[in-house]
Amino acid sequence: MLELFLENFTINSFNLIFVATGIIITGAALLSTRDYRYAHRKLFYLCNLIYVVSFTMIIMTNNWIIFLIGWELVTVTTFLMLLWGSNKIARIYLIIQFIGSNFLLYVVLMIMNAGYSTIGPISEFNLQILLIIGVGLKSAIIGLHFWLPIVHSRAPSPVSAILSGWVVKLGFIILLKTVTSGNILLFYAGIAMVIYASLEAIFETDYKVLLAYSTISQLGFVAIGIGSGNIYAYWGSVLHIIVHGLAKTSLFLSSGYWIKKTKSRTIYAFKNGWFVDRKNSILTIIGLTVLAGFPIFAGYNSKYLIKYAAGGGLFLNYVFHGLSILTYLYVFRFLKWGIFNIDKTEKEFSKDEVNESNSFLSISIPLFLIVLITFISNSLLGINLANYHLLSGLFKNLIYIVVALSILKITDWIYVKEKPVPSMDIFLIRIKNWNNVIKGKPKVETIEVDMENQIYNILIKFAKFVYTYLPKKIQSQLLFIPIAILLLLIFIL
Amino acid sequence: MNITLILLIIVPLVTAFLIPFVDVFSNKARKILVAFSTLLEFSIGIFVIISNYSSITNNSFFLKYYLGNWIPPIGITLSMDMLSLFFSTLISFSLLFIVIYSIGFIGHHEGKYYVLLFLIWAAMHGIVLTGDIFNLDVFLELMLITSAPLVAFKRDRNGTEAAIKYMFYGTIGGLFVFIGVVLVYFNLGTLNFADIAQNFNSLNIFSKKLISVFFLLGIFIKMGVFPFHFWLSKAHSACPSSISALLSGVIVKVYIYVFIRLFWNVFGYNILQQTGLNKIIFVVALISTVMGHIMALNENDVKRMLAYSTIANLGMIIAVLVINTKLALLAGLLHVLSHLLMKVSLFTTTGYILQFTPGHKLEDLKGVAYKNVLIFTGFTIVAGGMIGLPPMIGFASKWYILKAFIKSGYNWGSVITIGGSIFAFVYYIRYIISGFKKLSLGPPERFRLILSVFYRERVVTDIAFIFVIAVIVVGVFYKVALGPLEGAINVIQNPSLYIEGILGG
Repeated sequence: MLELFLENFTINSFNLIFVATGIIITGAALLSTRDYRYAHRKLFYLCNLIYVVSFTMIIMTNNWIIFLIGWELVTVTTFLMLLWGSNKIARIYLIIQFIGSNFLLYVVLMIMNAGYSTIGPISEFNLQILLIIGVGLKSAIIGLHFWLPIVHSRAPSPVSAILSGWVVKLGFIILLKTVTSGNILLFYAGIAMVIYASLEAIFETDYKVLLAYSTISQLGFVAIGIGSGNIYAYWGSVLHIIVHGLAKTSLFLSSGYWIKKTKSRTIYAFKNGWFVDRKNSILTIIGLTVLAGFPIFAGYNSKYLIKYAAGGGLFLNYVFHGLSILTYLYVFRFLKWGIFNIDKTEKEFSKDEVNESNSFLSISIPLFLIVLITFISNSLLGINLANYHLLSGLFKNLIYIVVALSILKITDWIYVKEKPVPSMDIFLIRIKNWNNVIKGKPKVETIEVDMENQIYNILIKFAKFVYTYLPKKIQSQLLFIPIAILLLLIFIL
Repeated sequence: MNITLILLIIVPLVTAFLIPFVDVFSNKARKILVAFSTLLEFSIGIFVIISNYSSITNNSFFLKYYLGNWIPPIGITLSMDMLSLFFSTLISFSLLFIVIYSIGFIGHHEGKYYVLLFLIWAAMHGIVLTGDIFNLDVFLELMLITSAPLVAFKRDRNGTEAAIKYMFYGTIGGLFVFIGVVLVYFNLGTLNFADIAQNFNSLNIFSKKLISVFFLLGIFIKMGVFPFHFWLSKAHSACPSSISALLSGVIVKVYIYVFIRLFWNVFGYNILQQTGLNKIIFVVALISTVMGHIMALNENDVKRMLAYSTIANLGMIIAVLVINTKLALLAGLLHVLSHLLMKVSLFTTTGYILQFTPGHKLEDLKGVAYKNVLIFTGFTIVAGGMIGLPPMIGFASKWYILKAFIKSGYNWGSVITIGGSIFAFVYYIRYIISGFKKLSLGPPERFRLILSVFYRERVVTDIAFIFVIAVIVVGVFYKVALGPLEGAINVIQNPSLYIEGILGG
């Protein structure tokens, strides 16, 4: 039994660190769930337990089949967790992930057929691309990210923390093991992810959607690190997966408490936050600082390493500065409109039904670990870097901040009218509107049928269409038999 | 010579004839007889495995019995090798639980019901064990004429219509098989499988082709492959759920056994390859898969949906079998096992659920999950297995099928398998959503027993749970099943083993 285990699982410091991070994230989220009213709490814990086992399988294994089983189990268990929120979102998540994992099944078989019997570096570019697309639907590679802001923002906050903090990272952990020497397409996809998602986050008013877009943009940094093929950038990606996972967990958990208090999801509702809830505000600010990569915190270390990906390219260096500024933009915009939007006339947050005995602990544990990682990041990764040039880093970051603040000042802190909570229906409305534009009809704002039923309806309509061409009478159905025998006889003659 | 083989056929046969006599005296005695014979038959199967355990593990398992002590090729030979053992075990296992399920499920005309059920059981074991091609035809017809009344068991318009259709197609299929038997006898002068296999290559090419075409058509019509599938959904949905489970889960697999035995061991796979029939079978089977999934999607009736899904899975099994590599045969046989377990458990759970709904339609199922959440969760879990989610057995078999398709370069097969499971996802989740839909009217007021009252409700739910648990447990430990399956594949790939086993020694 032990031999079987050792054959199929690799135990090294990396895998253990990843597993430990995942368990801490799940633990923090579970701690936070104690402040919410959950029916069937034991079942929820059971789901989490299976989820922990399955992501451990994904991370530790070197066997493709066990990886796939773990992958599907993560899909199923996270789907079940989502059921504690909205049924509809959970189903949409399941169907999208099911399609993705089926594609991944196909890709893995292709990879195995090419001779890679265990999980390890893959040298063929085409197979790398296929694998990237295969894990892309779960890990929100650009183009396949469309579901993420919707699902992550509509899930219950602890589940969002698990999804955004760790589930999306699993695909990148597999890419870390397989795409070891870089992939140029992944590199540019990463840059595109950072730019696109940061821009979306800058114009977002819903806090959880903002955080979800920020997840995509930070995943972009991981993709850049893996795609560049530079060894330091590669280590940076490893560190960034851990640091961002912890930071995003903390942020999503705190977002849950913000929403609970203000009874609203828009950032404008969080005003006076600094005065009303000092504890939560400070922790949120620390989390956002980690995301932006300000020195002292480990977020700086990982981004410092990832910036090695630029190599000596001057242009790419400037692009990377731009990417950092984009992150600062959405962070400061949120702080301005949210926590530091001081309005003394406004009355305090409502305090009824708010139970948050575990809030401080669940939000601060991941942040505390990030601070710890800051000091031990070299020994954690097992690399030798004398220092991270903290002073010059501080100087650079101050310049970024100045640039970001002046851009925000010029644009009046980018005030955007409140947006509705996103749903899959917007894609339907867009298609409908394109159709209307072509036909010269006015645009519509809402639509009656939801996305899920629409997909089912299309498939069922297709089935009905095929069905109409099948014979209904038994006489004509039986006619197939003489036809078949005639054809077969002609064939064998 | 091994007496247990003939007992496997005789015990259900004798029980079937005893039931009407016992029924005259008392109901209770009949129930005891049914339970006793079921357990006896099951334990004979277990006994065969235990007493030959060492030969099973080293792949030299072969039992035979000469009826009337006539030495082949003259008399009828019963034989059991690894392939027969695999199917015989499946039949015994599932029939044991289906009979117990029926004890709780069928509340009326039980005397007739069990007579027919035991006759089917005898016929199935006969098909699996016989070594004589005419005997095979006889047992096939026996299975048909005993299952047709069971299809019409509800005595309503639907059931009768379905049974007539079933008989129509079945007899036509049987006719083709019979013509094939006649052709074999006229050409070779023998009916013994081993003897036919030995001399089949000496025939001229035209006779060989003609014989294989007739057998192929006969089996495919009886099995319900695409252009001949019209009877299947009706027949499998009109009957009581226990019979649906039997038809859709077990009887269909017996036809697959016949297909494998005839075209690998008796006629040899070469004949399919020479004539190019294997390509045709592959394409037809894949079309059958696609059509099965599309029809299942089109269907609004839960039992008919399950029946169409059977067509689709059957197509997949046949398509993967005719690739004829070791991996493909393994995948095919594993899917036989997995589809049997999953379909039987789906029909047993559905049978329970449908007792509380006004009809079989999608809308009728609204909120039915809250009548018995555990049973409906079982349905959901097994549906997850059908679409290939781990840790259910469906994942293992889907994985092997995909692997077999990709390894041998049949990419279309793998695309259709994956597309099919996405289709299956859609058509299963519609019923699951409907089942879990919350109704404003409380469940106790809405649900009432509409059809027959459960004879023993506890038995029905327990058997359904046993199958659901089997789906999960076998899915986790599917590697245990691979050992015996490799023995079966060894038999399939080496027809000489079968010939030597019967004729030599």
